[in-house]
This record gives sequence, C-alpha cells and structure tokens, in this order.
Amino acid sequence: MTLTRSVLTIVLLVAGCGQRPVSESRLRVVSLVPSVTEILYAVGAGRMLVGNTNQCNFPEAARGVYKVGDFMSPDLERIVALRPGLVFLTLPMHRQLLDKLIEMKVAVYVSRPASIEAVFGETDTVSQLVGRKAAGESLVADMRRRLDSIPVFADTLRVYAEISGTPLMTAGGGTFVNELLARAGGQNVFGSSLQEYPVVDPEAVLAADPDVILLLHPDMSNADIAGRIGWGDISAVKRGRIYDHLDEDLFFRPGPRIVDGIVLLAQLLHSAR
Amino acid sequence: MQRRFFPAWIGLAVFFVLSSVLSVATGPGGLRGVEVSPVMDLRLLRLALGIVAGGVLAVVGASLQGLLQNPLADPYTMGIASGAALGAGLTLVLGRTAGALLPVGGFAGAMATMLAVYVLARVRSRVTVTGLILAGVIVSFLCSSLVMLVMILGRRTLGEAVYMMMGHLGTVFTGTSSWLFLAVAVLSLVGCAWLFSMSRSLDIMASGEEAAATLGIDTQRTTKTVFVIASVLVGMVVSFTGVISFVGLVIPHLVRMMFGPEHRRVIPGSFIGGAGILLLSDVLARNVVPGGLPLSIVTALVGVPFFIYLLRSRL
Repeated sequence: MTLTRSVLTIVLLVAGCGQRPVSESRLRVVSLVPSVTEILYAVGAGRMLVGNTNQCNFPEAARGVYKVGDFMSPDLERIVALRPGLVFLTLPMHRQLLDKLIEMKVAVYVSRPASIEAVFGETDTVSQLVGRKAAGESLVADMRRRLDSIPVFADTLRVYAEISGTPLMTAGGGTFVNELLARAGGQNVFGSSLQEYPVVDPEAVLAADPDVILLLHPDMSNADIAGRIGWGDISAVKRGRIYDHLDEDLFFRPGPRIVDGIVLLAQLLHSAR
Repeated sequence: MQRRFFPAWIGLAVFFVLSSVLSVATGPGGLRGVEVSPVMDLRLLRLALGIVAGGVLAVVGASLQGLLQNPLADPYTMGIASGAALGAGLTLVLGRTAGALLPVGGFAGAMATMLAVYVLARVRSRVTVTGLILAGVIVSFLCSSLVMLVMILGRRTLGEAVYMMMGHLGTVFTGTSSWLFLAVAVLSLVGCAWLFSMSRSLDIMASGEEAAATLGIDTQRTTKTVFVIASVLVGMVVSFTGVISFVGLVIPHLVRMMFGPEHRRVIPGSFIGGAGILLLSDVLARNVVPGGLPLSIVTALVGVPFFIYLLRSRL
C-alpha cells in the first residue's frame, strides 16, 4: 500500500549549486515542513536554517528561527527576502508556492515521503543536499537499528485513533499513523477508508469495536471518552484501554522521531497486557 | 383549523414521519442497528438533535422574515448563526472543560452578534430593515472569518472548522452533554411556542411597521423580543450542530406556499418541515458518501431543486 508508493522528489538545483554538495557556510536554507526541520537539526544542519514555519517546534532551537508564516500558508515575500539557496516544501500544501519559486529560479526540494522506508530515503537525500551525508547515513543506520529491535507482533489489536472529537475524525488508509500502527502491532479500524482524515459516524466506532482507543487531540481525556453515551460496550472502554495526551507529532511527522512513535505505540498496545 | 389546509398538514406530517423513520433505520450499522441498544440510543439522540435543530432554524427564519418583512432574513443572513459558531468556537478553543459551556458560548456569541447588528443598523436612532440585513450579512462574513482564525490559532484541524461552519449531527453525547441537550431541547420548544404565541403581532408587523404601530402593536418591543428569542435558540442549537444554512431561509417560504402567510400556520408548519428536511438531509449526508458530508452541502442540494420546483409551479 503506502510502501509501494515511492518518495516523490523534485530537486531543482540552479547554477552555482550544481549536483555537488554545497559548502555549509554559503547555503541558506528555508524549511516549510516541520519534519524536514527535524531532519536538518538531527544531521547537525540546524545552523543553516534561516527560516521555518510556526509549526516547526522541534527541537527547541527550531522555535527561535525566523518564521515565514504558518505551515499551511507561508509567506512568499518573507521566504524570498531571506535569499534562500534551498527551500524545503511539501505537496499538495505548497503547490502555488512551488510554481512561484521555480519561476524565480529558487532551488526547491519537495518532501513527500509516503512510508517509513521513504523517510529513511528522504533523510539521506536531505542530508546530502545540505552537505551532511555522513551524519545522515549514521542517523538512518541508527533509526533502522532501533526499528529492527522492535519485535514483530503476531497478533494485532484493533485500534481507533481519534484526531478530533467534534465531529469525530480519524486517520484513514494512506496516512502515516496507519503505517506506524501496523508496524507496532495494531490494525487501524478505519484503515480501509480512502480519505486521509475521514469524519466518522459515532455509530461506526461502535460497530468497529476497537480494542484500543488513541486520543490524538489535546482537548479530551480518557474519562471523557468513557462517559460517551453508547460507548460503554466498546472493548477498549470496557478494558480501560484508552490513551490520552499523546504527542501527536510523533505519529504525524515523517521525520527522525517516527521510530519513537512506533516504540511508543508498541508499548501502549503490547506491554500493558 | 380550516379544512382546506388538511391535505397540506397531512402531507407535512407524512414527510416528517418518513424522514424520522429513515433517520432511525439507517446508519453505518444498517437496519440491524435498530436491535442493538447502544446503536439505537445514538440514533434516537441524533433524531432528537435533528428535530430540534431543523425546527428551531426554520421557526426562527419564519419569525425573522415576518418581523422584518424581508424574504432574505434568516439566522444566517442576520449574522446570528455565524456569531453563535464564533462563540462556540471560542469556548471550544479556550478550555477543555468547555463541553458543558458550549451552548452558553454559542448563545453569548449569537446575542453579541445580534446586538452588534442592531447597533450597526441604527442610523440616527432609526433601525431600518435594509440596514439590519446589510449589517447582518457583513457581521456574518466577519464572524465566519473569525471562526476560521480562532480554529487555526487554537490548533484545531481544518476539518473541524469546516464542520463548524457547515453543520453536522454527529455530536457525540456524554452523560453531561445529553442532560444539557435535554435542557436545550425543552428551552427550544418553549421558545418556538413563544414565537407561535406572537403570531398575531408578527402577522400585523409583516404588513408594515407603521400600520402595525397604528394598530396598537408595540413594534420596538416585538422586535426586541423576537431578536432575543432568536439569538437564544439559534445560539444553543448551533453550539451542538455548527452552522446549517438554507433550512432557516427556504423552509418558511415553502410553508407559506402551502399555507399562506399567517404565522399561526407558518410557525408550526416551519417547525415540522424544517425538522423533516434536516433529518432527510442527514440521512443522505451520512449514507450516500462514505465518510459523510457536511450537512449544509446536502440541505442546499436537497432543498434548492425542491424550492425551484414549487416556485416555478406557482408562476
């Protein structure tokens, strides 16, 4: 499924950059993608970052970088004013921006990893682009090692991952959460949904009868879920297997922390029993 | 009750009952869901929410149209619905214990918007109908933008903002919120009954404000009363369902085509018709497209052709 989808990369390098790694002191990087921001810091290229978005909140140092706007609506003028040598963005979010930047001959890299494997590939590519090949390779090796150390679970638990309570929304097939869950020994009960973040009928959750409920939004706690009318018969509620106040960035950001996300999920799903 | 309206009442009642039955019989669990007690509980709550929301929106629309003698007046164009959404949105974003406060937030938002519209429309201590509608539309736009802003700043998903602005009946009830809803439902019925009791005044107001004044109607007081009731009702409903457009605007017109302009028939007719059309729209919204649709999309798709047909067949 998502594994078969390969990473989409468009690398446009204008004159001066060429195919060679660029010398660190000269490259000015703007990241409009929180996960790429995390990769840049993880490979020690954080200092090259001259601009990022309001959502780039990890690591702590990323908060202090000049903000070019929101992830959903970065400001072209602010980006251009930074005279970046390379801009990281993603699709379909930054479609218009991409066209404009290409027109202005600014080098761009489109981040769109669709699987765990693609995140490794992207980490490699990003680190090469900023001249940190070795650091990138060791980061990927480390992530792979940690991923391999997570056991493959024979049984799978049915999981409902809620991302909004009014109305109910969940993560469907084709999302990162979906794949991370699968690797952690869980099965997304709405994994067959074609929409990425479908709205679900409360009744459909009852019918799916999940073993575990994950709350990936901050405003509700497991007591709120247990108190929902009609939900008392759901297996997860009966066994008290509702997990709240999780750091949703671990599950939605295709960056260096995905393995942490899988470890956390595996612990929640399998160690408590 | 005059005999010539009998068929129309029967038709309306049949439509309402059919919509209700469809609403309870369908859902992701299919017809079998009716036998499962928690599923049935959810469907009955959804049914109740649909009836209250549809009924209230249509009755408020009918009253505002009569009061302001303007066919475009409704909870949406007057800014009340968007204001309620803003109030509810703010409550939602500001605190996680907001669940119980949501209807209060919605009501406060609706009330504040109504006041703002009234003040904006008052030029040299005179409030004109055109002024009210214009101010309402402008404030409505402003509130819609502010809802988006609040939701984005509050780190809510875009989907949540969309459903807040386009309506849904997928509210998940807890023990507390179901009691709250019960209170809201009772208050809504009282409010609708109150508007019904003002039918005579609304009839006279509809024939022109000056005529009403000569006939001994306290127009200022009637206006204020209707506005306050409208704000309370719409504010509470919107906090549960988000903004559902079209029902409040078009249902009263449909009902007037059936029963004529007298409010003692238009108001109860609007309640039944509004509830029916909202339930039917919800049945389509949740069953036709996998994953469901925001309600306002369906209310418009269902209602507009129906409305055009009725309009054309009268010409």
